[in-house]
Amino acid sequence: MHKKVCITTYNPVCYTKIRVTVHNVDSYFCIEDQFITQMGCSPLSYMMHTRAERKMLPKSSPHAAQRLALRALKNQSQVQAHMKSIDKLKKGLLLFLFFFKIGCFTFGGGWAILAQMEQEFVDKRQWITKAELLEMVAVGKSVPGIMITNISMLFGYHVGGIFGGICTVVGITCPAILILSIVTVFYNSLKDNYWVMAAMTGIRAAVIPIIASAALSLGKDALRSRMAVLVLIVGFAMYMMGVSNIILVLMAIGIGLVYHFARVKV
Amino acid sequence: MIYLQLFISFMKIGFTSFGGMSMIPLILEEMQTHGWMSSEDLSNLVAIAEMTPGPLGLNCATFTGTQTAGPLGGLIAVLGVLTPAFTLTLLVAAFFEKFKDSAVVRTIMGFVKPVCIAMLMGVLVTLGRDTFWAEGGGILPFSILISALMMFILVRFKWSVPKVIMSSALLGIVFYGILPLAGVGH
Repeated sequence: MHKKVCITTYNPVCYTKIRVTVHNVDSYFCIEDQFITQMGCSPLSYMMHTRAERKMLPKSSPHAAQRLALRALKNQSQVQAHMKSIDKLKKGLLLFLFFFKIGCFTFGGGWAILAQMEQEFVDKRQWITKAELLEMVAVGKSVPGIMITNISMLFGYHVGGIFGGICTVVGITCPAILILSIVTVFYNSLKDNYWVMAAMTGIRAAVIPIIASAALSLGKDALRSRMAVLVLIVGFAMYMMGVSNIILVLMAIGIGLVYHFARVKV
Repeated sequence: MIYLQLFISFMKIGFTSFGGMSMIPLILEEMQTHGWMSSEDLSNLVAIAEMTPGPLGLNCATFTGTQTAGPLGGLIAVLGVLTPAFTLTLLVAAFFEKFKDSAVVRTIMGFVKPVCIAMLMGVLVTLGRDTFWAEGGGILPFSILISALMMFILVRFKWSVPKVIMSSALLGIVFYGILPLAGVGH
């Protein structure tokens, strides 16, 4: 679409050809349209007029066609720049709305959200390919923070720069704040109710298997080497001895760094 | 200044957690060192965050923040937990191509993931202690029953988490609401 095209048109005053570089064919027609409105005929048919006939046409200064062409081009680029900023806003708004919707209606955490993203942006809009989305997931998982906000940040940045990234993250965050604020109010006023307490006691018993199954599925993926199992055991022992979580994670990062560079050297 | 404390706590949580449940141990620790929440509240928090739409981490942060310091607290906790997304991830996004196949990152994750699992196991021990033991001493057999049943259902039938929570709420109402009223148990 942004391929440059050279078009030869005619200078109406001195019969010479002028070359105009336009960004696409549409903008040539835009020039031609302007020529017609100002000169009363198309550049080509102007050439066909006899000198006498030409005198009857509205007067135009020398190089009028060039100036006309330049002005048309300038308009074109201004319009393009304007469209670009509108596009950017539109895209940002679309990203915001989509991720707001996801934040409102998608149950089941990260993976359910990813499935929706794939449906919308890979299959329907084709803004990214599936391979790109998978790369974003892999990277988003290895950056600290909430996986899905990381992935949406990477995606938003890919699609719409920093502005796009901020739109997606804010979009996915707003519903959580709204919904959880309401839930908290209910939670505080209901948690001393006899029946709610009974239900909550049952739910608390279910939270343990929920966390355990999350740990299990994480383990299937992460505990493939003997080294990893060793790290798990040592980590668990240190946790039990009261080492702070943050220290544990930082140590894991540090050991990973040392291990990598030691191995690279050897 | 509770807002500043909240922000710093959640920023720490944000920078040292890697996705989903791995945030729970960090939240538990921060909440207990500041005395903002009991482990019972944390179990409820996990259930509520799983029951509400949207990503778990954001829900946890909002709920904890709102519980400790009102709606503004929730907002500040979320901002704290989003700090890595707005700094590190943005940086990574800008250098995405370089970061994509980085061997260093892969090696580091090879160490971080097992540690995340270890922390989750630690949380299970803490939560299990508080869930299965009554405050006055003595075990709660019904809770153990519900846990075992739900674990089986989760692994064998792969029920979705909200479904598991709803059914265990029903079981809770039966075991801890109706049975004591009917004079059974206790």
